[in-house]
Amino acid sequence: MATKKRNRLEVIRDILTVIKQKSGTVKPTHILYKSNLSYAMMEEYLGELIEKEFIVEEMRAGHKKYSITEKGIQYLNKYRLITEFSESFGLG
Amino acid sequence: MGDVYLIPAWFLGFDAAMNLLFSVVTFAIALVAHHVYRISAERNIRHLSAGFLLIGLSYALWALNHLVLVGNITGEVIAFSLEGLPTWWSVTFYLHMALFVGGLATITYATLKVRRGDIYYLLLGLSLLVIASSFKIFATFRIVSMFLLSFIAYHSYKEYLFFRNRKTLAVCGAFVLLFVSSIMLIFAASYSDAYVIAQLFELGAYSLLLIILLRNILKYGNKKKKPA
Repeated sequence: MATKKRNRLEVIRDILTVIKQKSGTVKPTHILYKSNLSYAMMEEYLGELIEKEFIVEEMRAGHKKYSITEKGIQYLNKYRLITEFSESFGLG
Repeated sequence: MGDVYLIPAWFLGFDAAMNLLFSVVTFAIALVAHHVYRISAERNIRHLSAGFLLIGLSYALWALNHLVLVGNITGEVIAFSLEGLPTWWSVTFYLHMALFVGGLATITYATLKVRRGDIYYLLLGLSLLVIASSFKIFATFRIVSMFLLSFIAYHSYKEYLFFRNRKTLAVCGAFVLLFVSSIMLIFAASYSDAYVIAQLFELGAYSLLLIILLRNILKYGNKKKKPA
């Protein structure tokens, strides 16, 4: 069965959803497993999400962990508005 | 250098009102785009917002420019020219052109989905320089606008083929109408009716954009995603 390639906004939504579903904090391996991305791509997206302040990186007991922020939750809540507006104006 | 454009005298007031309306619609798009940028932090949406803001300012200036002349003009057809008109008129006309082309160049840059300031500099600089160095400023302004509008319309159509979102097709249609309007405005140098037809095409374009904007706001503006 042919599947449609995800666009950037969908990948960002998927990563934030993975973090939110795990009580708001996860290890990078869990994101890698659930988001269906290569390691390099995941690192790139995590960097972008940190820059946009949607997630924060923390060190807990020597392990990296990522937590979703209020801004990240707001992105998920308004996801449809963002995608519909972006797609309407050809910026999807 | 010939006349810049001809307008039927009876249309001057309508024209000012229509340009005010275009200004309000483009400001509304800029405002919503800014709101979406605040949530999504997507740079291309910020550029889209800035582009529509510049276009909104250009329409506001145009409306103000013509509003001042309503009631002070006699005759059936008004011939606007860059020569022989007050300095304030020429200044607002040049500002209108710079803001409009600047807005289109900014929207074009947003559609490229790149983070390269030098590309924006090149796009904006070339567009403005071509107009500024031309002997037929009005015609060149319209040709540059047509070129940028055709690129945005083509990009929207490509995006429609990918996403199959009817709103993208409607936005493409709006930019096609603006493109046709720019062609008509070139003919307005010889025929005053062409100016009226051009404004009607623009009205169609901004009505489409307003409908899309309202549909997005009313359908998704206050809706929160259901908890998973």
